[in-house]
Amino acid sequence: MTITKLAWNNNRCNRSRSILVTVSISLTMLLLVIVSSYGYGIVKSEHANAGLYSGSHYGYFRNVDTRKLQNMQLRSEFKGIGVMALAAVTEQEDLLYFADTETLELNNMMEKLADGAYPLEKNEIAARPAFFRKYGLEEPKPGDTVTISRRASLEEPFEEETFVISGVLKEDGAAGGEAGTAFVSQEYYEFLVPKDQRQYNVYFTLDPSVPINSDSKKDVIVDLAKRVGVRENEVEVNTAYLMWALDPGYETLSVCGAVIFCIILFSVMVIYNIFQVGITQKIREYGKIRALGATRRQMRQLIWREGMTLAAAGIPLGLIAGIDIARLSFKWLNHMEGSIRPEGYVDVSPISPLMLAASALICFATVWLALKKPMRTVAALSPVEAIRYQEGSEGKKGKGLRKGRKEVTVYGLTMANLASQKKRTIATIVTMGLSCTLFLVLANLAGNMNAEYDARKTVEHGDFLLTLDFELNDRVYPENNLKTILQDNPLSQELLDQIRLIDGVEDVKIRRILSMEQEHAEAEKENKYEAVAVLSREDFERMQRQGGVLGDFSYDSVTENGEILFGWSYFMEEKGVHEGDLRSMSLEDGRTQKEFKAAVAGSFGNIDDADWAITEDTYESLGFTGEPVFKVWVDCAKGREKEVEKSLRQLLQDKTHVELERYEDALQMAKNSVKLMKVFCYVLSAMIAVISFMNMANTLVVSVITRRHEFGMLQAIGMTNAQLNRSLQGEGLLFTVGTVLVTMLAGVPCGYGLFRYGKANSWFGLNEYHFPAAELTVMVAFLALFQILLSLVLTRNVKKESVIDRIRYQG
Amino acid sequence: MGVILRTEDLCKFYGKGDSEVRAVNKVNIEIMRGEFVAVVGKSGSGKSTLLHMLGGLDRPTSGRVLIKDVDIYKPSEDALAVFRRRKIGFVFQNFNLISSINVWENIVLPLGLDHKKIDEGFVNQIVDTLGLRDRLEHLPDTLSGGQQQRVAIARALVTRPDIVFADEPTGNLDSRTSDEVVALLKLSAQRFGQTLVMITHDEDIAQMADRIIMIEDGRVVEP
Repeated sequence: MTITKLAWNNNRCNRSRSILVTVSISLTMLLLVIVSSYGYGIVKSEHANAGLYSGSHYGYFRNVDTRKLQNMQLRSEFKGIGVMALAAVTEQEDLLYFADTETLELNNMMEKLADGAYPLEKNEIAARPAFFRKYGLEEPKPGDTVTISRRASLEEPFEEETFVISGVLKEDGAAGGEAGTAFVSQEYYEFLVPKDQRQYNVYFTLDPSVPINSDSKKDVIVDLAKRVGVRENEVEVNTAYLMWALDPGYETLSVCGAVIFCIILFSVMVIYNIFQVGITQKIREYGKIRALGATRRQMRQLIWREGMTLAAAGIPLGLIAGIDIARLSFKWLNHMEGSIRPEGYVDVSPISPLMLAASALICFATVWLALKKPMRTVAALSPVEAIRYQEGSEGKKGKGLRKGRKEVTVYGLTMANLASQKKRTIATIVTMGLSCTLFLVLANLAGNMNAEYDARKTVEHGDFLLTLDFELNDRVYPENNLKTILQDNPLSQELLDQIRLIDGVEDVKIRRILSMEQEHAEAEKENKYEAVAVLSREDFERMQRQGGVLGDFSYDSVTENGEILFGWSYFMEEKGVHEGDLRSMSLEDGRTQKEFKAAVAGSFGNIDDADWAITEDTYESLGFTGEPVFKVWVDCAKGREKEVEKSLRQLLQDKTHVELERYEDALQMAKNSVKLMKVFCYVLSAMIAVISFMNMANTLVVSVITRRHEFGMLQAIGMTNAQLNRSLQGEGLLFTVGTVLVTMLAGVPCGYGLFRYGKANSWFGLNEYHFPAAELTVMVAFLALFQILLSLVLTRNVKKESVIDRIRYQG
Repeated sequence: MGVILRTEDLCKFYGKGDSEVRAVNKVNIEIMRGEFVAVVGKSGSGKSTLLHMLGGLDRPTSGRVLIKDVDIYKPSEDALAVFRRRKIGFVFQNFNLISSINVWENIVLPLGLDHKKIDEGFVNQIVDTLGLRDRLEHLPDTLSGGQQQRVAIARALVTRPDIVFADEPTGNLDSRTSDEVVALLKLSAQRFGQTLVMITHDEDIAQMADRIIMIEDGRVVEP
């Protein structure tokens, strides 16, 4: 008989152990496949969709003449090269650009076309409807003509030109987007601008062979720029795209890694326990094999093959179920998020053969880790000791005493049995307890995620938020910069008055913003403009409560000392901002410019749309005369939301740079996210709890099987079936109580600690702490229910045999 | 001395048709109060099956077991268990002690199962009779075979049962210890006024009994 056959037969004989181990391995594999597939899917999805928001170019070079462009085209490092150039300026100060197909594609402009095509012929033009409306076309469509007065340079007079509309772009957002830009053809550009005066913005991607990563992106691109004769200050890196496109997904991978570590840890504990208990139960059998001449190596091989045979059965089951669950749930999640995704979003498959193979390998490694100790135990067996071995007598040699009690009850008997199997009892309780701890910790997070709180981070007051959509340092479209927008702020006093007059509007709140220019070092001049939010006392204190605050300050102290606050504590170091720094700056409200010198009092966790913040009192003391409103919150009477929204949209019809957000949308989005996170947290912890439950099941099953004879004997001397039931239920109950105790002792402080940490780091929706009592109750109820069911099944199983059969049973 | 136990056409058959085994076949016996009866027979003769049925452990295929004129198999399983713990004591060949509790706890266990108050004086009397005084805190696995069997005897006597059934109590013991254990069992039964029914295949031990019942192929035969 070979070792493999022996292992196979052992697995068949120990059927309950084999089933429990196989189920545990299957569940482990299932979880590994799901978690690794999710990690892979998320990273792949990020890479595939990185270009949706800011284009899929690596960056662009400004002021590139024909010679430099040729240099770029000659170099193999540059892959997709697209050009864009200013062809002319209209009399109404709108800009006519030429952009080739590559540029349009790299900037996602193709998707923005509502009708027709981008210009190809000399006299063709494409723009948004708002642009054409400025030139008298109320309902522009391809084929219509439009007459525009334009000039190519300041040296030339304006000349009228009639264009044929080749395409109409989509309206952008609630307020029409940048009306001031239109596209003309290459032929037209070349007709207007002489060859020696042509200067382009050149968009590019890089060949995959160029060694570039998330950290080195700027250095690599600047270096390439120098090689083609482009200066550093003419380089613009598409950080928003590259951040995702080149991101190896460390954050996602580290979360997945941590989850996988937990899974491995629990699985190793459970599989090890089941095996070790099985070996202790059958130690005489192993002793006999050893006595028959099996070497230590063969004994190790025996256990190894027992485990690996079960792994070979369990892993494919987990793999198949895991693939299906991962694929379907990923699809479901995509569907759930569908409403908040931009057009053109690419759905990816989370399944990767490489990840599946890696999961299978990890699962085998988990089983191997779990088997290490049992293999050692069996290899170290002395045949004689093993044959003589009596379970529960370990470590009692020389001692063999027990204080005991004067009277023995069923409960006392149960306790004595558990005490005699101390190691096994503790291991079972700890494993179960830790998995429930994980549940409680995750419940602390999931249960405390408050969708309303998170939605209020987006729309802080009322039902609607009007916000200025601005850039700070856009050189191509300077009209989009805050500094420029504030000069003719669409969120004017007049508009605010009109909003207040809308029927149903109950309250209007505003927040102001200032454009800031710091005294920068020469190298930092590129991004010289920043934004400073002006905070009311109420907003100031709310932001303080949101967590992530660095420094010890209050509204009054910041006002009194005329201090300034940084907006993003996480990026403070990166931006070279330190508490106590003295900063000199010039602040602008669009009308007035004020010099301001202030110390940095600290930082908020994150403030939307601004880099810095000052108090309303400080703002007042500076004596600005403009009205730099950048957020307007509109609160309306209950049930009047629809009418108010309609009126707001009408008021904003001709406004550019204003976005309208609804609290209802923000809340729905937050609710969806909370739902997703809750599902993820609870499913994960439930699966781990199921794996751990296998351990408890095994402990109880083994406990019943090995004591079948003892039960028979106890019944022979008068134990009733009801007492036997109580005894087994008592044992299970003790596991439940122990598990709940471990969970409370470890889970409550860990959960609270994680909540505090999460809140300090502004994790989703974490605000007020509520003890997850409902979750804990559900957990205890489930645990008790499963344990009672298991005990009932086991008792019924025992009762199937007659007392005499039980007495005759010899293990 | 009245009859404490009697059987009426007691049968225990296993299997059906050609493969039917008649382990006990129409056995009619009577045992008097305070009597020491040895049941002897060859291996497989049905003596253990008979003892198990007499002790309420194994339901007969047909026939009745009457203890004090009460059919012990009439009530429910749980009622039978209660009857066993109050009226019957068992001593098994392989001791069958609970390994997780000490000697004292093993002895008083039947009282605990019956929620009865322990008569410490009586228990101590048994303990002293069986010479277990200095072993009370020991766990069973640390005792010798003879000591373990003495604990089993003490456990069987502690509820003051009407009858003590002993199933080859010396089967796992050497001859010197065997004699000692049977002598103790007999002495205790006499001292505490109990009836003793013991299975053995040891002729010498059987000779110590007041009466011998011989079993052959499931039937009682004349010795």
